[in-house]
Formats: sequence, C-alpha cells, structure tokens
Amino acid sequence: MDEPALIRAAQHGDLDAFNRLVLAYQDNVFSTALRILGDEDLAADASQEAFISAFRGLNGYRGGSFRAWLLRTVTNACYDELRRRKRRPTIPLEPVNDEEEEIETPRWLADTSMSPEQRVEADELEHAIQHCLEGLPVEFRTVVVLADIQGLDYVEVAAAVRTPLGTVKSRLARARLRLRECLQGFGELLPDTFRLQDKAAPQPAGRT
Amino acid sequence: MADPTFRDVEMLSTYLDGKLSQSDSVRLEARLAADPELDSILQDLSGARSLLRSLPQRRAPRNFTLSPQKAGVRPPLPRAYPVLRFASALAAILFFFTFLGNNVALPAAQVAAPALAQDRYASGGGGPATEAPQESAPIVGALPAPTPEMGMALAPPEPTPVPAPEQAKASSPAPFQAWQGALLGLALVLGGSALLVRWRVDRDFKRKTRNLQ
Repeated sequence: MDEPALIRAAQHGDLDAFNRLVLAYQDNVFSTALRILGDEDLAADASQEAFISAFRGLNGYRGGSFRAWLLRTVTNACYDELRRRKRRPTIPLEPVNDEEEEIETPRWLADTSMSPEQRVEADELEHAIQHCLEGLPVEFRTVVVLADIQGLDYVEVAAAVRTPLGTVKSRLARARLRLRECLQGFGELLPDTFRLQDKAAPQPAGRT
Repeated sequence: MADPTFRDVEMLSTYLDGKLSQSDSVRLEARLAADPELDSILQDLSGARSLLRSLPQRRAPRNFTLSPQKAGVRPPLPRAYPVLRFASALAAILFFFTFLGNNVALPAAQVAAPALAQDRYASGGGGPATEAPQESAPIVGALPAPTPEMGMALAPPEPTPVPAPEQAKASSPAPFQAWQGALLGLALVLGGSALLVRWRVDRDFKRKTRNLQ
C-alpha cells in the first residue's frame, strides 16, 4: 500500500483511496475507541464518526504519522461520545442478556485463535485490564491507551489530546501507577511473566 | 533516604520509555542502585506497561468504509453546469424586472400624468394656481367694480372631463412583449438544462458507486 499516494488521492476527493486507508487502520481505530469507551457499540459508532470526520478534514493533515492523526481523530470522537453518555447515563458498562443479567464471558472479549482454556484466561486477563482502565479518569485512560496500547510517542499523544508534553508525562505516570494498584486485585489472573509483586504498591510522598 | 515523590514517579515513567535526558538518566540510575523502593516503583510501572502492551488488538466488528452518502461526497459536475445555472438565473432576473417595470411602474406613471394635467387646467390654464391671486391682490382696490361680463371672463372654465375609454386604456397592463417572452423562455430552457445535467451526473455517479453503498 502506497500510503502517501492514497492520502494524496483521498485529499483530492478519491473515496476509494480513502476507503483503502480505512481498511488498513480500522482495527487500530476501533481498538482504541473500545479501550477508551469500554463498549463495543459505542466504539463502533465513534470509529465510524472518526472516519467520516477524517475524510472531511483530510486537508488538515499536514504529513507525519497518518496513524497518529487518525488516532487523534478517534480520540476526539470518543470524547464526544463520552460527553453524550454523560448527558444520557443509561448505557450499561457490561454487556447484558435479555434478562438484564451481566454476561459472564462477554462476546466482545472473544478471540477465536486460542484454545478454550487459553481463551478463558486471556478473556479474564483482558477483562481485568479493561476493568482497571475504566476505573481511571478519562484523561488518564486516553493517555495510557494511546501511549502504552497504541504505542504513540509522547509528542503524538500530546497532539492527540491537545495537552502539553509535561502533562502527558505526568498523566501517564499516574495512570500506570493506578493500574498497577488496581491489577494487584487480579493477581491470580496475571501470567507469570507479568506477575506483580504481592505487596501494597509503594505510596510516593505528596500523592494527591 | 528520602521517600519517592511523584516527580520521581514521573521521571521513572519517562525513563522507562527512554525519553529522559542522558544526564537525568545517569543521575536516576545512581539513585535506583541505592534506593530499593525507587527500584520497586520502576518494576511496578514496567509491569503495568507490559500488561497494557500485551492487550490484543481488537478487530473491528464491521468495515467502516464510507459510502458517498456517508462521506457527503457529490459527483464532480461538468463545467457547463455553473454557466447554465448563472445564465438561467440572470435571464429570470431580467425577465422579472422588465415585467415589473411594464406592469407596475408604467401604468402608475400613466395614471398620474392625466391627473397632473387636469390640476394645471383647473388653476387657470398655465401657471400654478396659487400665483394668480397673489399677483392681483394689490390692485384689487384700484380697479372698478367688476361687471357681470368681466366676471364671466375671469371665471375659470369648466374642466373638460377625460374620456372614460382613454383612462381605461392608460391603466391596463402593457402588452406582453415578444422579447420578454423570449427572455422567459431562455430562463426556462437554461434552468431546465442545468437540472438535466445535474440529474444525469447524479444518476451516473450512483451507478458507479453502487458497490460502495
């Protein structure tokens, strides 16, 4: 895929070219939205909105990482979605069945490439991490999703969340520390390589 | 040994990502070697980051490709389209103003003209009606008493009534000129052509992008 050529064509209104870029990045965009929003339907809506906004605002792309630019767009779409959800706070945080009961192993965590046992373990670990992510304030969550899950560098994250670089570093540190504390409660789910120390997380002085 | 502060945690987090300056890294590594609590925080941050990085990328539940409707894309129009549209609008405007001029402004002027002529005639045949008494006032006492003959001569003549058929003719709308009809026809033809061009382009565009719907 000649990405720069596709971007140039899309900037001139070539929808086919843009759709090839969509197919290349839609998993990245959807995954980011899912980690920030924690709900598959909302994440799908935000992803679709992000691609529409991206196409309409494509002339605002001035080079650099196109993936980072798209993730910035989906971050904005997620913020919009969260604002809407704040106005209408009736959406369940966990998938529920017809009887309004929480589904034990949600469909949105399923991965067909593993054995049933592996899948259960992976699902539970992923569920635990997602649970801890959702416990973070949204501004911390967004930074940690973009930096640690999507692998953007600090400058790209700062541009995506329109925040100074120093604030990004601070939020990332706090988010990692809070996640560490939260994940201690799921110690038995963590794989050996990631097993966290079974002790209370150190409390840095002056913590707020 | 001082308790680690949040400034230390931020430095450790930045160090973990390899974004700390060389000099700061050297200083921090020296502290890490001497301070197990600081090293423990570094391990915690590293563990949390590793777990986050281990999260699998979720697959999109459907394709998010855009249809022309979703993207708000309109087909490119031929260059003749804006010309046709502009010419059609211009012809319509010209027709409107000439029609307005002939049927509103002109009859009003034609109605006003006979009324003005009638006023002038009533004031004594010529100058304004107010001028005559002012000019004659100073010499009224010097003149002999008016005789019936003189009175007859000074009396204003009876206004001649304007014939009714002429009034009716003046207030009726001007006949529809042939060139106005041509202007109207031109506006309709050009406007219709613009709509036809647009419809054909839209139809062709829909056919071409049917697979994207």
